[in-house]
Amino acid sequence: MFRDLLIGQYYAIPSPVHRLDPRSKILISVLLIVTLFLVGGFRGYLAGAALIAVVALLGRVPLRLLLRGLRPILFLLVLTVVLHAFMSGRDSEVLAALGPLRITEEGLLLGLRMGIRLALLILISSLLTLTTSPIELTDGLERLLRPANRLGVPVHDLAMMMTIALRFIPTLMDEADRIIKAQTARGADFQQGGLLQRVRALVPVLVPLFISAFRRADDLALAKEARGYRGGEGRTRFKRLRLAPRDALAGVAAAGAAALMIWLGR
Amino acid sequence: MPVALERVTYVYQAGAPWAVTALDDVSLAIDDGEAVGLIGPTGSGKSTLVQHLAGLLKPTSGRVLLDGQDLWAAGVDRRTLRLRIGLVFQYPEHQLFEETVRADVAYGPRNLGLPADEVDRRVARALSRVGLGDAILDRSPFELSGGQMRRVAIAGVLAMEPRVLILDEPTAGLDPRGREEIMHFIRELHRRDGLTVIMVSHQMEEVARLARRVVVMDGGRVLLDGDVRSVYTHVEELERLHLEAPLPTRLAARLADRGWPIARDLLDAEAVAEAVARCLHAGHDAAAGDEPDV
Repeated sequence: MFRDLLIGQYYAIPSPVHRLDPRSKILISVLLIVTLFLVGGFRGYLAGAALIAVVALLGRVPLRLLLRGLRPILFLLVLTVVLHAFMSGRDSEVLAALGPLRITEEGLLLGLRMGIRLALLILISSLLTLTTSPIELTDGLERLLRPANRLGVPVHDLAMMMTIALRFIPTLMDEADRIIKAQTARGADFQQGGLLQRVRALVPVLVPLFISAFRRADDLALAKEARGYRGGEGRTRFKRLRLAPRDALAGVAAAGAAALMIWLGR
Repeated sequence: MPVALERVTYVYQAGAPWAVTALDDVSLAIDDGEAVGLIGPTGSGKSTLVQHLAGLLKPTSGRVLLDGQDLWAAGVDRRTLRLRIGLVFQYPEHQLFEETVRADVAYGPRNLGLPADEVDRRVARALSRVGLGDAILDRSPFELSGGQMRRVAIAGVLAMEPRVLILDEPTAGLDPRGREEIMHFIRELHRRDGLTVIMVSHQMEEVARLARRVVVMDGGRVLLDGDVRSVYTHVEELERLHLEAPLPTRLAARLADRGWPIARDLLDAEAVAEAVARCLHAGHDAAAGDEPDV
């Protein structure tokens, strides 16, 4: 039932984009997203879209899968364009009017701009999560945020919590799947009845699921303590992140692309 | 109620690059009142197969027939049909959720919309079938021992009064005594109550003591299907799958390899012991100094 869901949207195949250091991918994504908000012209957005398509191609991510990431925010996109079209640009030329509601040229352009920025932003972050496994992502974030340690932010513990949470999502999904099937085999019906009835039908799934989550948490805590885990202090890594020449190459290419977007979208 | 799979193929995550074919063109028919053991290495498709029989997975292609009816054809009342199949998952005690044993076992019958006195009757009957008494009824299932929890969970399935009972490794993780208790009532359900029983297991001796028929799976296909005695003589094929024929059977096979006049299809220790004793009484000393080291 849940097996067909893509967890964390990671598309597990080998590719040059997948091989990049997660830190460079995170920084490049941030750079490109900031660039989006510096670019005003539509030719700049076009260049951005082309860049995304090229990276998707290099990362061997099917475009169909990438575009699917836009589906949940489609409503938000339309709303952004419409609201801007009606609400902003009071003084510019009126394109259409319906009573007190007016669509102005400036408003429409602003709406389109915001809509496109939002869509490209989502595509860039989808590309990041599609080509970087959740564990790599948290590792990269932990390294990048390490300076915050000095400000008293427990970066390691936060990253560890995130890693564990991500690690157990598929496990708990499998477990939920099995419990749902077992209760279905005992005549449970999760689709029928009103809201209250449906919520009540979930009790036989949620109680065993919570019990199992606590059991796993207990086991994991014991296993970690038995192996001498005592937080991040002085901890070394099995998989060390190392920047390679390809990361420098990707960084330069990204900076160039950002400059091109800004120049084209003057 | 006869159950059958007709050329069933099932693919997990169809379309993704990491799609896995869990069942590959499997056909299998199980008749009323049969007891069938289902064995095979991890990942051979056993669990996927039994979930198809219970109507919980829809085949990617092929048909599932319950009582001759295609379970996934349009207009078939799937819910009613599949409730005649009882499926006990691995570690079924992980699905317990109610405050009392009584309420947990009653969950299935209540879902069927049965009247209260019928629900009570079924709860009592199901618990007695798994060898638990009334004393346990109002205790919390979570304060029972592991073996008891498992029996309560199986009782929860039996309370549905299925005609076909499917068990996925019902004795996994139990001590020998807990295993024997469970196997005892499973045999009773088959022999005395006439239930069709399909049991997934790694323990080939356990299977031999319950089932006449064994199905061996490998890589999503049925590798061997037949009488326990004939299947267990395929010692080499079984060993390739890291499945071991029961120890007495292997002993008999080794002796036969060395020229002892002993049958290769003996399943339990007593039969092998008798056969060996017979050989010795008959003065079979051809193998003097050539004792097999098993």
